[in-house]
Amino acid sequence: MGVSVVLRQVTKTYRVGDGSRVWAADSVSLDIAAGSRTALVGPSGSGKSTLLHLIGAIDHPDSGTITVDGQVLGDLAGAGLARYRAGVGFVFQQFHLVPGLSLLDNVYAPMVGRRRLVNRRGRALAMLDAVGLADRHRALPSQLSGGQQQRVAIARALVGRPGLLLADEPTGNLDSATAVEILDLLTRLQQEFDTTVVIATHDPGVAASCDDIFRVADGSVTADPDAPDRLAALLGGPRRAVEG
Amino acid sequence: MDLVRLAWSRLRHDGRRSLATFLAVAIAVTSFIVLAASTYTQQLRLSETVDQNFRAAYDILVRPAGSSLGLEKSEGLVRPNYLSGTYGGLTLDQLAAIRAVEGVEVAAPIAMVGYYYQVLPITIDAADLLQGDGRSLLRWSGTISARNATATAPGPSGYLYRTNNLLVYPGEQTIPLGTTVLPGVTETVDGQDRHPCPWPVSGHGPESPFDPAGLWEGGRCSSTQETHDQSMFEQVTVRVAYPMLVAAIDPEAEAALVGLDSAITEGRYLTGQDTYSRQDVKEGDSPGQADVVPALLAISQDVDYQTRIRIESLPQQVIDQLGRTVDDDLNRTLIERATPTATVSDTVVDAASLYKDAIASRSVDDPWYSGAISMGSDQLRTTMLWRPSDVTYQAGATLQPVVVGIDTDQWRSRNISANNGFEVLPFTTQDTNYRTMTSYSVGRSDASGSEGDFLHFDMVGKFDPAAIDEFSKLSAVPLETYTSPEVIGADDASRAALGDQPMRSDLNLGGYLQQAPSLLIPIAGLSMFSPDRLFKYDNAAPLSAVRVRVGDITGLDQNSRTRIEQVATDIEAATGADVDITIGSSPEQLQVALPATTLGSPAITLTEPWTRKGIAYRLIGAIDAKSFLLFGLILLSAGLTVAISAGAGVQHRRRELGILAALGWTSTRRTTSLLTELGILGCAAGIVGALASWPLSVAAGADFDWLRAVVAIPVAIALTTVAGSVAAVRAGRLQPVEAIKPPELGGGRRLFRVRGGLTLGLQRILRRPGRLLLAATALGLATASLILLTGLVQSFRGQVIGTLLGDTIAIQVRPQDLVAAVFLAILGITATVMVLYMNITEDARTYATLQAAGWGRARLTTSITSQAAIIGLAGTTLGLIGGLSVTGWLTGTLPHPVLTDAANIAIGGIAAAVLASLVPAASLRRIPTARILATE
Ligand SMILES: Nc1ncnc2c1ncn2[C@@H]1O[C@H](COP(=O)(O)OP(=O)(O)OP(=O)(O)O)[C@@H](O)[C@H]1O
Ligand SMILES: [Mg+2]
Repeated sequence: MGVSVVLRQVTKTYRVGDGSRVWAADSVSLDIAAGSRTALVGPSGSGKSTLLHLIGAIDHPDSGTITVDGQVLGDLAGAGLARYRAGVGFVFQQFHLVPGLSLLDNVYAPMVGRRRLVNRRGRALAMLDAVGLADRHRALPSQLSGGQQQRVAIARALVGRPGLLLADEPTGNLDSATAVEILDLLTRLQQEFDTTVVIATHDPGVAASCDDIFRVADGSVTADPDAPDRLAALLGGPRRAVEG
Repeated sequence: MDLVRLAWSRLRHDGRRSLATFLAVAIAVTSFIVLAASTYTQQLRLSETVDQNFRAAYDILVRPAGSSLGLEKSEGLVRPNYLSGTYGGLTLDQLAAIRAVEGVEVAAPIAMVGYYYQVLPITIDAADLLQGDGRSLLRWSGTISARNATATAPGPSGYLYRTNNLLVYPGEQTIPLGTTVLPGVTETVDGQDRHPCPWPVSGHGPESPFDPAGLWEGGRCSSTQETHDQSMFEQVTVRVAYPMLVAAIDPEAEAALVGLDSAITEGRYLTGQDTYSRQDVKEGDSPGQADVVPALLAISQDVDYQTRIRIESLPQQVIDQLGRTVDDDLNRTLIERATPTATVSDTVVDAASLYKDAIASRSVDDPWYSGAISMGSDQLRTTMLWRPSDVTYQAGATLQPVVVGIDTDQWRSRNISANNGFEVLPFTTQDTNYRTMTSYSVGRSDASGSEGDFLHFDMVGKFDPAAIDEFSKLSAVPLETYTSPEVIGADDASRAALGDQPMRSDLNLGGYLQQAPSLLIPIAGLSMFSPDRLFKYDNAAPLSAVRVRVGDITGLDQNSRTRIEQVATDIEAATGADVDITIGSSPEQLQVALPATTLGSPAITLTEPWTRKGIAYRLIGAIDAKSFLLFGLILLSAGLTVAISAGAGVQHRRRELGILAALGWTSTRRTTSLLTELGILGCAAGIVGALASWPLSVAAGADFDWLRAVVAIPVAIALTTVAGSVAAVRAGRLQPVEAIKPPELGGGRRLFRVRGGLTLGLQRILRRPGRLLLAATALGLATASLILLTGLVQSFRGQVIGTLLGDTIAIQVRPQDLVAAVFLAILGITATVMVLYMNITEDARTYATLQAAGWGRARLTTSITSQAAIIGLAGTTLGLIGGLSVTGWLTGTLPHPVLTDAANIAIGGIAAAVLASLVPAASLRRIPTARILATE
């Protein structure tokens, strides 16, 4: 069951070395429908990752509210916050695999302590299998290529069957064939669990596969309802062309 | 279970980083165990040393009120020669009062009675030397030397003459048998009368006992034609006046105190029934009384006094000149100026062996001791007593005994024949004196006015002063009753002057050092002295000191101490005497400067063992305080090293913790996982540390205790986890996103442009002031703890050194202090290395990038060593400030050596930090550049 995400007047600034501020998110208001797939596109440094971090509750906004499935994230703390984060699948732009853990353990990590889940090891293996790395489950992240690490990161994000998947450049390091596979995986998952997916991407193809596209520039977000069609046109195919 | 598995997996896969933490913790644990063992052992051994040595012959010394010097009172000292000038002052009632005090086990009184001179003849038979069948003339001369022969004085001199002519006694034809004094004899040589042995001309007697005129003993003449025994005219006799110190003791108390009864070598010990008896003696016209008192004789005496007698043959022309007129002076001049033909005899007799041979070696049954008491014999007896005063000291850093003049009147003899009106004295009596003399002569003041009385010692037994119970040398209290204080040269010149021997009495009663008593009489015999009888002195308070032993003393514990203090207080209240608690005291060498003396000894400086009171208690206190502080220091250092190491372990898990937080791990789970990991690490490190500490403890000379080592393991686990949890909680509080971000993006301030290794290093270290502070703290603590250690050692030495016991302790302490210093240094360096390592781990990406960008190894190493140098500067500055202020606060002083040491430690600290940084710098070589750039 997917969840809806609502951002209202969300602002996040960073203070940089010379004392000035960078508006990574500037009064952002967004509505993401439950079960939808949303793309955040924009140039490098525009604030895409920042938005995902805020939605994933791994960073706090300076002001504004983020409501996920009716829950205001700012109200969460401690165990509630952890539970919320556990329910979100996050694919980091830098993958952020735990270097000391094997691939299997990396994928297993989100399920630690969740006793109600049955056959957790099996699920982790199945998930690794789904990203094509089951045979290397004993390997360490440092022994993988960038693309392989990205796939493990995706497996880890999906293993808990999250209601909300936040993927930061999930295909950034993948060749187009693998990218298609991964997108395929996301799509299947989304359909199976009705997961809400938010993807930050530079890839027009990926963006084109989304229901909604938001354009991010200098911390501001503008909805671009026509964008999917324009992109589709640009790519010379129907909107869901990349699905297959 | 999951957590343990994952923790183990992380530890295994992240081997190098885990290893660093593991090693650091293991080092800390090892150091801690070794140091704790060493400190504990040290405390134990030192306390044992003190405990074993705290008790001496007596616990409390009671002396007549006002008899102790101001110096003693103000400095907490007891002088070693307190008996030498104290002739009474305490009454027998006071002794009874002391004995009545509860807790007094033994109260042994000693009464110094005084000195008399036992005249011991040295006889050299010269019959064989008077060779030739004609006439022969031998001149003899004595020389006295003392104090390793640095003091010399001319002794008596005279001559022996033998002729083959008949010697005619004036008015008689032959020399009467048994004549002890030769009148001027006459012989006929070449038809002329000669007077080879005239009487000394009367009116020529000496003015003082030291008048050189009195040294001339004239001649002794014998003849080959004489049929009677002439042996005494063919021998040289020099009389040595040997001072005999008489003291009275209570036989029972003395036996209980020092075991004098078991030091008896011959005869019997004194009993409580022994006292004096009075016997009528009549010889010639003078009826008198002898007070006979049983006495114990010391079999040996430690004195330094030699008599050298040289006999030379004189040539024929001198013989021809001898006795041309009846004038002894002419003879003297003739003989003294003559050039001898040969030295025919040269003998040196030591007073100590003379004492042994002439007095002590005789059997108790020898009639000389036990035969009929008669006047005028050379038995152990006297008609005179002398009492030298105390030495007084001039104030000053070294004790300077005040020189006193000699009052020759005190040496006048009632026995006219003795030495022309003076006593026969040791020749050293004319040397520099520090004590004035009071003489007492026998003589009833009653109507009869008899001069015939004398004091006779009935030798019932002999004792060996060396066999007196040996108490610990380290806590020795003065036992002048049996030995003189051991006084030795304080500097090379003085030691050389004394021939590397302790200084001994030179028989001069006015000299600095006094002998131990030769004769001990029972205290009951003291009643023979009274104002109207023997020696006519006031005998109301005969006791010089009472040495008290307190019962039920178990050690240096508070109970025993309180007991002794109570007894001392009670004695003081009961007697009003000067009371010193001597238990727990130890000899302290005080310097005494003696001037160059009249008889030619050079000025010398001596060390004399005074008794520093209460030193054992002070020592125990100082040992406990030092151990406590050292232990605290070790705990702090080891704890901080563990904390820093565990912190470093957590630090590089920051990112991981951020990731796990983002994955939905609760902070509890994250912390638990981390602590599990640290727990495993701490446990392993603890076990390894405990094992490693075994051989190291043994090598460090400490008692290794397995229990303590085993206990250290849970302590290591606890310390590691506690220290780690601080870092874990801090990491848990971070926004996951902050933790995830590569740290160098985390809001660093650009201070200056990076141009090379040095500037990179400066930038790396300065942009993380917190880390700099941590590293500086680690190094600072090491610096401070080493400074504190040297301060402690200094102050400890200052507190204990100076006494024999304290010096022993101070020497014992040295290896342990060294061990402590080494391990504290190791701990500090470990902590510093860990912080540097942490920095490098965090900056791995930067270094990898720079390496990829073509930076050489030297540049990167420079960037690390420059960080270490900054840490070193900051750390040692902190350490200097901290260490010196804590040392100053704890010990109250910052003596020069501590400051010098501190400066050296600080310099060493900077050097050590830079050197230690080469270790993590070398690890840069192993940075997998590509992998780091790919993964992070
Ligand atoms: N921790 C931080 N401290 C300071 N500035 C930051 C921090 N994180 C992000 N920023 C700044 O905020 C802005 C937005 O960053 P963000 O990472 O969200 O961009 P992005 O759109 O994800 O870029 P990219 O496409 O390169 O991933 C940037 O200017 C970035 O420099
Ligand atoms: Mg981004």
